[in-house]
Amino acid sequence: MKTKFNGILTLFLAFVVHISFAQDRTISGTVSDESGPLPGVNIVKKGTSVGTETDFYGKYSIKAKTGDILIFSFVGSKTIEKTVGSSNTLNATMTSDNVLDEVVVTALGIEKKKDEDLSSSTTVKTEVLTKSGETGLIQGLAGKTSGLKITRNTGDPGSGAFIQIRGQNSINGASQPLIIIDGIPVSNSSVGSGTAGVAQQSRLNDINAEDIANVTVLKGASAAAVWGTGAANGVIVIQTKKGKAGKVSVNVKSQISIDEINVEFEKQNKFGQGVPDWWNGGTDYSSTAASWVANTPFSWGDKISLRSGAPNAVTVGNNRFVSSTTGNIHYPITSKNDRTVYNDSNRNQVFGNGLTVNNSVGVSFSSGKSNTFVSFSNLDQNGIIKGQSSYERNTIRLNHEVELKENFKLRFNTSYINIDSDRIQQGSNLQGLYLGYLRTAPDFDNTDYIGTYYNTNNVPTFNSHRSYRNYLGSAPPTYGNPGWTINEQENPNKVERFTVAPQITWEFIDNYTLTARYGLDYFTDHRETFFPVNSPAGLGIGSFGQTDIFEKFQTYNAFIQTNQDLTDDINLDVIVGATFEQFKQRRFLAGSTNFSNPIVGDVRILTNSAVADRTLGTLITETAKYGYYGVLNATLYDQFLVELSGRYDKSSTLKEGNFYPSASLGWKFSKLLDDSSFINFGKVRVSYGEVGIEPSPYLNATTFDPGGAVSTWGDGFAAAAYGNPFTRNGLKGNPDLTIEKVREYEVGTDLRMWDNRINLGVTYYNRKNTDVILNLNSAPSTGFTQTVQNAAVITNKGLEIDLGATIIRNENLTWKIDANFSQNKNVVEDLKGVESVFLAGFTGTSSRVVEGHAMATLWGGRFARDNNGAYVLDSNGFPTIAATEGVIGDPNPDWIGGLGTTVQYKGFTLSAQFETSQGNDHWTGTEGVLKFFGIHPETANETTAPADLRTFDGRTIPAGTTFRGNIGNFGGNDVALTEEWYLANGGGFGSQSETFVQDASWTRLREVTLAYSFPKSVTDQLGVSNLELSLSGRNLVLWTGIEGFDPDINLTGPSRGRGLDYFTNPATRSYIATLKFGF
Amino acid sequence: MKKVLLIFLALTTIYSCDDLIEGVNDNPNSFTDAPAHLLLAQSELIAAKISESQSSRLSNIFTDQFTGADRQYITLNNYTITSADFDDDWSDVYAGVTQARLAREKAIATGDAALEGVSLIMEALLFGEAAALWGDIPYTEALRPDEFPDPKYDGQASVLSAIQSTLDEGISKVGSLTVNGGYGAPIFSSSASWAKVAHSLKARYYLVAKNYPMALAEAKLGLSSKSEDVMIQHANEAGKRNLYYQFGVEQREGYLQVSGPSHLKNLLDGSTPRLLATPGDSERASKYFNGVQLNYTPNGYFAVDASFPLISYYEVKLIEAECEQRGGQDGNAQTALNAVRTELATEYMASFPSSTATGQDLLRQILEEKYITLIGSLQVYHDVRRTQNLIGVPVKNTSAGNTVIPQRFLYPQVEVSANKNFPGVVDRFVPTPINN
Repeated sequence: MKTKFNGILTLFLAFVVHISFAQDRTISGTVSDESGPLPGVNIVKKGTSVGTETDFYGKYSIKAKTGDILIFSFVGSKTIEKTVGSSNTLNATMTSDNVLDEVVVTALGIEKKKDEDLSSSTTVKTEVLTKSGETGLIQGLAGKTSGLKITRNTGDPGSGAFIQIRGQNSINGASQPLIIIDGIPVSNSSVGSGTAGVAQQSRLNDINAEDIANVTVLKGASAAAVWGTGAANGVIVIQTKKGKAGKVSVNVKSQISIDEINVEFEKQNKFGQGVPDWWNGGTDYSSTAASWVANTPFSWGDKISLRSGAPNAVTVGNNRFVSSTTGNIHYPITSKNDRTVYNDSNRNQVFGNGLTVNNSVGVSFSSGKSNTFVSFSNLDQNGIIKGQSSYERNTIRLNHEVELKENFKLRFNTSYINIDSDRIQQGSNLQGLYLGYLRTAPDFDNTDYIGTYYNTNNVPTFNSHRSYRNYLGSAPPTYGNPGWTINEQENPNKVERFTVAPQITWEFIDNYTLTARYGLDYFTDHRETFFPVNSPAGLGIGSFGQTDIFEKFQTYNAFIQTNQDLTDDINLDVIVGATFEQFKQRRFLAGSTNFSNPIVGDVRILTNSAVADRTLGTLITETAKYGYYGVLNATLYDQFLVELSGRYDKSSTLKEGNFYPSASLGWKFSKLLDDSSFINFGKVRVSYGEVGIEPSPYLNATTFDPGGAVSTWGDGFAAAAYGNPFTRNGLKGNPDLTIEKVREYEVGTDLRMWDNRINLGVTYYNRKNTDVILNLNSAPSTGFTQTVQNAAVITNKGLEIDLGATIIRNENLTWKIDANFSQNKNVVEDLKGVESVFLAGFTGTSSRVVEGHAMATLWGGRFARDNNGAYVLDSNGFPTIAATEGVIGDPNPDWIGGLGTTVQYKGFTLSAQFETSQGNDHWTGTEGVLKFFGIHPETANETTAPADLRTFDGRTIPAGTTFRGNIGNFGGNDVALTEEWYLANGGGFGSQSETFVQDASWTRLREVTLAYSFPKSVTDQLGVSNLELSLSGRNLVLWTGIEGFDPDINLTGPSRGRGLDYFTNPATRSYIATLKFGF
Repeated sequence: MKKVLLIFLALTTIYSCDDLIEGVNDNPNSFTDAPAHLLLAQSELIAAKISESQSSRLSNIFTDQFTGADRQYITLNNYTITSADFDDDWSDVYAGVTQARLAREKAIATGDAALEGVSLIMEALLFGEAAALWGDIPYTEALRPDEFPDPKYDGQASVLSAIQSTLDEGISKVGSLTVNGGYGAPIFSSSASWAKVAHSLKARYYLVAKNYPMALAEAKLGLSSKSEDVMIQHANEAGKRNLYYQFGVEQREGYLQVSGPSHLKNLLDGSTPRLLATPGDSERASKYFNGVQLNYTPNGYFAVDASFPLISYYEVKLIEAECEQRGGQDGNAQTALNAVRTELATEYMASFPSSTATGQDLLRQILEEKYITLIGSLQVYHDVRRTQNLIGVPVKNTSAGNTVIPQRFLYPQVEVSANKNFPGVVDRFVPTPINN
C-alpha cells in the first residue's frame, strides 16, 4: 500500500511541479554523435520524471526553465548532463561509447561490462531476436552468436527446437542448457520425442520475445560453474524488460506473417498404382509389364499415358462409397482407364498458406521510486498444413520494481501464459500426414476421404475412411488419407503456465548488499490424441489418449555482494550465496481404445470402451538440490582481472555432494598501448571450470515392477491376467552413481580496433566429460541384463569467433556487419567396450553413441566392401550387404556460421541474416521409402538398355529394350536398376541405409528486413512518439544438396538423436509485415 | 562486519539441511520390493512360458512334430539358428530363477516353509530345462552379481544333480500342500500335492541325466492320475490366451504348421505306420490338427482357452514305462504303457489297443507313444536327443548336409558378448555332454 501511495504521491508532486512553474519554455535541439544525429536518445529533466526522446533526425523538444539540468542518455553511450541557459536551443553531442559499454549478464543475473568479463559469453539483443520473424524465441536465436546451434523439430505451429551449446556431453543425463530468466532458473522441458506422434513444444518458447531485453549465452564451464550440477550444457541467461525511467511509454507491435512450405518432395507422375505383372503370376518372370492394382501400396503399375483416357470402368451396384463431403460415388473399378494425375490436387488438399498474427503491447512507466513494465501479447498461428494445425498463445507479464527504502528494493516479476494448439501426426506412423500423403499413388484422387461405405447387401458403414489403400472404404485402410489425418484425427494441447519471481535487494550495511530471490514456475500441459473409428490400420477400432503434465519448479537463491578497494590498485568484488531448487513433475496418462460407441463425434471419454481396453498410468519425477557458492572478482592495477568461483552442491540423485571450482584470468593489454594504436581495446583471457551432469532420478535402486512374460514373437502372459506377479527389473540400480564431471579450459581474446569499428572475440575451448553414465549390458546369468555405471568419456573441442564491423558510419548512412563462426569436434573417447548405444531412430537406421565417433553418429546397414573399399558384388553385379551394421554418417556439422548485415540510410534500415551449417550428414529416410514405393521421380525414369543388362533379381534386360528404371554401376558391369532393386537394397526398406545418408550442408537467407522509421514530423501529426513499418522475409532462400525437405529439422525433435528424416512434417518460410509504434 | 557474518550464517543454516533432499530420490513410480508370493508367481509364469512358447515351438520343429512354414520360421525349419534367437529364453530362465530365489529368501525370513518349497521346485524346473537344452550353464556362480559379475559355467551333469537336491529340499518344505491349495492359482491348476509334482520333476530330470533306476523310483512317487496334471491356465481374455493360439492366430499366422511333412501328423494319419497300431489316432489327430494348421478351434488341443501341461500324468507314467523296460521289467513296462493307453482311450473315446511287445520294440513303442502324447512338450525334444533318435524322427534339410537334428539350443548372444567367462560357442549339432 505504501508503494502505491508513494507512487501516487510522486505523480501528484510531478503534476504540482509542472503547473507551479508555468514559466517553463520550450527548449529544443539536436543530439548527435560523431557520425551525425542520434535518434532515440532519452532526455530527462533531472530530479523529475519529465522526459522525451529524440526522433530519427536527432531532434527533441522539452519544456524547461533556465537552470534546469537535462540528462541525455542513450544505450551504450556515456550519459551527459547539460544546464539550460538563456538560449532556447540546446544541442548535445554524445560520446561514442557505443561498444565500450556492451554488457553481458552473468550466471547470477548480474550485468557486467563485456570488457570486464572473462568468459566467452555473448549477448543477443532483443531487436536482433525479434527481427528474425520466428514465432519461437529459441528459433530466433539461431545463427545470432557463435557456439550455439538451434535445430527445429518441424515447421509445425508451436513446434519446439533443440538447443546445443558447443557439443553434446551426455548419453543419459540432461542435454539441454540451463535457462535462467531474471536470475531464476526456469523450465525448458520438452516432453515427448519419438519417431512417431506429434511435434512437441519447447517450454522456453512460451515467453513473449517482446518482453525480453537481452539474451546472454554462457558457453563455457567457468561462466556456468556457479550453477554446478546442471550447468554442463551451458546456460542461457535472459533478462526481461524493466520500466524505463522518464515517462509512460506504450509500445505496440503488430505483425502479420504469411507462411508457406519451404521445401517439398517431388513425386513422379508417369506410373500408376500397381505392381509388375509377374508378381501376380500374370506373365512370366521375364516380362517387364506392369498393371494397375487397387489398394496396393506400390506405384510400380502401368504407364498412365498409355491408358485409354476413357472413364474408369466400374461395377455399378450396391457395393460403393458415397463421399460425405462431395457426394461423389465410387464403385468398384474393373478397368483403370483414366489418365488424370492427382499430385497437385492431393498436394493442395494438404498444404496452403499459413497465417500468423502476432500483437503485443508493452507499457513502461516509472514514478520516482518505482518502475513498472506491463505487457500483453497474442500470437495466433495457423499452420501451412490445412486442418487441425494451429498455435495460439496469450501472455501477460508484470515486472514491477520499487524502492521501499533507500537501501531496500523489491522486485516482483510475474507472468501468465496460455497456449492452445492443434497438432498433426507425423513420422513413422500409419496415421501420419506425410506417410499417407507422399505414398499416395499419382493416379489416386485423395479428395473423398470420408463417407459411407455400402456393402453388396447395401448395408452402410458410416464415417468410412477411403484412401489409396482402400478406395471403397470397406475397412480402415492401412495408410490414412491425408484428408482424414488433418481433419478427423485430433491432437489438441493446452498449456497454462505461471511464473512468479520476487526479489529483494537490501544494502544492509554500506556496500554490502543482500539479494534474495524466489522463483516459482508452474505449468500444466494437457494433451489429447484422438483417432476416430476407421482411422488407419490398428486404430480402426478408435483410440483416445490423454496425458496431463503438471510441473512445478521452485528455486530459492540468496547472495551477499560487496565491492571493496583494498588498495588504490586492487579492487575486489565478492559474492557468497546459497541456493535450493526443487523440481516436481507429475504425469497422468490414460487411454481407451476399441470404442463401444463409434459415433463419438467430438465426445472423447475414457469410458467409451470395455474396461480391459482402458489404460491408466502415472509417472512422477522429483529432484531437489542445494548448493553454496562464492564468486571473487579482482581487478589489479586496472589491467589484470581475476575471477575465482566455487560451488558445492548436493543433489537428491546423488549420494555425495560435489565441489565445482573455476578460475579465470584476464589481461587488458591495451592499457599498455598508447592512444595512437589501432587497437582501442584488447584483452586476453584464460579460464578453467568444472560443471556436472547428474544422473536421471531413481537410478539408485533396482525396481520391482509388474511382470508378465511375453516372447519376442508377441505371444505371452499379461501380468494383469494372472494376479499381477512382480518381477525385479533387469536393470540393476546403482546407489554409487556420481555426477558426470565436465572439465573445460578455454582461452580467448576480445579486441576492438580502428576507432572501435571492428570488434572481435575469439575463443578456443577444450572440454572433457568423464564418468558419463551408461547402461552396460551384463550377462543374464548374473540375474541382471543391464547395469548403470559411470563409464564413458566424451570430449568437445572447438573454436568460436564473433566479429562485428561498422564499415560505414556517417551522417546519413551506417553499414554494419556481424559474423560468427563455430567449430566443434565431438568425440566419444571411451565407451567401455560397448559397441554402440542407441539414441533415436529405427532398427535399420539410428542415431547412436559409438566409441571413437561423434555423439549421435548415424548407424545402419552397409554394403560389403573389400580391402580396397570397392563393393563386393554379387553374380549380377549388384553390391552385397555387409555382415554387420556400422557407422554411416555424422549429423554434427564441421562448422556453423552466421552473417548479419544492417544498412541504415536516413529512416530506412535494410538488414539480412545468413546462416550456414557445413558438413552435417542427414539420413533421408523419406526419400528411401519413396523409392521403395515407386513414388520418387528417379524411379519413373525410362531407360533403353544400351547392352544386355542384369537386374537385381538376375534377369536380363536385352539391349534395346526400354524399361522403367535406371542404369547403375557398382564397379562391375552396368546393371539395370529396376523395381526389384528399389524394393530391395536400392530402397528405404532394404538392408543398407548408407546410400540414404547424405551431406546435408546448408546455407540460408534466414531473414531479410526492410524497415522504415517515420520522421518526427509525421509521428507528431499522428500523435505517436515513433512509428516503424517493416517488411521481412524469413527463410526465403535455402541452398542445400538435400532434396525434398529442409535439413534444419529433425524427426525425433529435441532428443539426443540427430539428423533423422522420416516423413517429418515440413519446414516453412514466411513473408512478414510488422508495424511498430509507441506513444 | 558482524552483521554480515550473522546474515550469512542465517542463510547457510536455512539451507544446510540435508533434510531438504532426503528421500526425494525414492522412486515414486516403481516399487523397490515385492512380496514373496508375487515374485514366485512370476517364476511360475516364466516356467509356463518356457514350456509353452518359443522354446516349445522350436524344439518340436526340430523333432518334426511341426513345420516352420513362413518367413523366419522357414529358416528355423532348416535348422538355421543364431545365438540371438536364444537371448529371450535364456534371459527368461535366469530372470525366473532370480524371482524364485528372491521369493525363497523372503519365505525363509517369514518362516513360510510351503512358499519356500514351491520356490525351490520352480528353481529346479527352470535350471533343469536350461541344463537339458543348453548343456553346461552357469549355476554355482549364477545370480550373485556382486561376487560374480561373470559367472562361470558348470557341467551339465553337476547341474542336473544339484537340482535333485533342490527338489529334495523343496519336498521337505511343502508338506502336504496341493497345487490348488496354494501358490498354484491362478497360473496352474492341479489336484496333486506339490510334493508329487516335485517327485515327478525328479523323475523327469533323472531321465534327462539317464539315471533310469532313480527316475523309476521317483516316477512311482509322482503324478498318479490325469486329474493331477499340472495345467497352465488359459482363458479367452487379453494376455491369458493359449500361447500356441496367440502365436498361430493373433501374432504369426501361418508360420507354424504341420505341412510338408510332419512326422507327428504322418504317424497320426497313418502315412507312417505306428509301431503299435492305434485306431484312436484319428480322433487324436482331429484334436491336434485342423488340416495343415494346428487345431485352434474350440475344443482343439490349441484352442484359445485350452490349458497346456507343465507336467502331466502321461509323462510320468511313460517315464515309468521306459525305466521299467530299461531295467529289464518288460511286464511292468507294458503295464505302465497300457495304463496310459487305457486313459487315452477314455480321453478320446476311441480305441487304443494294449501293447504286448517286449524288448526294444516295447521301448520304441513307449517312446513313440510319448512323442505323440506329449505334443509340444520340451520333453519330446529331450527324449529324441537322449535316445539318439531311437524312434527315427526324420532329419530336415538333408540337402544342406544335415544328418542329425540340432542337439542343443545355442548359447545366447547376450551371454557371448557380456560374460567374460563364457566358454565358447558350441555348434548346434554337438550333443550336450550327457548325451555324448
